[in-house]
Amino acid sequence: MNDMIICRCEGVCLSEVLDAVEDGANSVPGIKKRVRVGMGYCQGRVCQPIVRDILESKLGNGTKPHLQRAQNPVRPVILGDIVR
Amino acid sequence: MKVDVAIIGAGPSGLTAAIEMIENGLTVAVIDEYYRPGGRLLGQHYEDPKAAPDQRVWNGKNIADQLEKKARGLGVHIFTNVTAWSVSEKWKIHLSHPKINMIVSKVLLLATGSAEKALPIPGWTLPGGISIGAAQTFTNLHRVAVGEKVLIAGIDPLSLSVMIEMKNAGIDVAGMVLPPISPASGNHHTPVQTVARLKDVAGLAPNSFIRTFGKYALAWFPRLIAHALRFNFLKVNGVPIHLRKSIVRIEGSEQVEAVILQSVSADGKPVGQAERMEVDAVCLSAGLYPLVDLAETTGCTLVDIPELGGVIPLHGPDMTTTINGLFVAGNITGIEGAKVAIAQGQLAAVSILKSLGKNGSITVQEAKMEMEKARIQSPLRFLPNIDEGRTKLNKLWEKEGVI
Repeated sequence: MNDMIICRCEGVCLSEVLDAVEDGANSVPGIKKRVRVGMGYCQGRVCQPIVRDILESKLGNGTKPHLQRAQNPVRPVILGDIVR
Repeated sequence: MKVDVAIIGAGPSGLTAAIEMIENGLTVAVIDEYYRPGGRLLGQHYEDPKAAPDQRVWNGKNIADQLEKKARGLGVHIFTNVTAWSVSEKWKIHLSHPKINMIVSKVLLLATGSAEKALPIPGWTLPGGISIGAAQTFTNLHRVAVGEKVLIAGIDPLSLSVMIEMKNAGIDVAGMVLPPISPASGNHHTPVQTVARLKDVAGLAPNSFIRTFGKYALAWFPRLIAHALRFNFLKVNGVPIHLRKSIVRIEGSEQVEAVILQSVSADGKPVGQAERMEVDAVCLSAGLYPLVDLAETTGCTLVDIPELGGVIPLHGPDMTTTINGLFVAGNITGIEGAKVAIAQGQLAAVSILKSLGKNGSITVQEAKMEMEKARIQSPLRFLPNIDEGRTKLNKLWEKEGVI
């Protein structure tokens, strides 16, 4: 169960996310900085809600863990589209 | 390109808003990243028992086609297969388009809709594992069967309607089961919690069985819990709905070959032996959440309201946000059905018209009432506490939303 993939883009498994929580991460960006969840092609569109659910249940203090901030560009875009 | 209003998202709310605004003298552009307009409408095909007898069949694809045809006929610029990858200062919308790389507008309407929540269980990334929304699009839009024998994990209004659609398309649906009780899939999938949410699906059903079941669940709910869900083997459209079985994992070397299922007690504890069922596709349903990334980059205030499906832009009853010239409509404001999205598009449009000193075909007040009507007439509710969510939102708006 602990080696199930959570972030498909970056190939991050549940065990790594749980280790990050163990290490003190208490927000989605905290986990992102430790194990790269949400740093791939989809920018967390798939894994962020799951990571938040895991965090919420592990922290168990009833507060909603912080989400990452959306950044521009919000979708993958070729450099040519940005610089022209 | 310069227009009065740019709309991101060519779903039911975006297209409806575009039509209302261009009919009342504004120039409008609509951008969508999918290859054709319609958004989630494209996948919808079901019977609506609340509608008038001659309008019972809700064919989303036809409705999308009609909206698109009308909008294009009136001169709305519709960009499909184009990504709006950034918005900046009121308003420059940056596009991934070979010729037009920017749209400049006075007003921006975000109708970006929602995204599906993933349901991670061991084996969920194997080929043959598919989200319920994708299964709906394959079935009703592309007419592609997602498998020979399909299991659905997640019992909720959306997955039930997709199951009925797949059955209508002749696909063998082997059953519906609960997601596992685990932190990764959210700890809210016990049989009792599932039944509590299902009462809202009662109106949807194209057959009398589920309608009866829904009423039963509503009226007899306390007793239902006491009897620990004797409905372990309810059948809808010939498909077993296992309210007391949850999926443990998906097995297969190259692709989905089987699922392991576990019987559970009413509060979700494992009971007895696990069993293996051979299937070649698994549809995973964990609900939808509003897609707010573009909204967030504008700097508008976001609020987290679980009853509405998650984080949404703080907005008023007339669809204004905390930023002047930025409006929202559709599922970005909370997860509801297409009829509500259409009414919200209309409301946002008349609000925008008013903000630019023009009159719409109806007043803002009338559009608000139409939206309330659409909410009542919706055949299915995706979230059980949507009304509480809206009340919460309105209170927050009164407190913090004044521009």
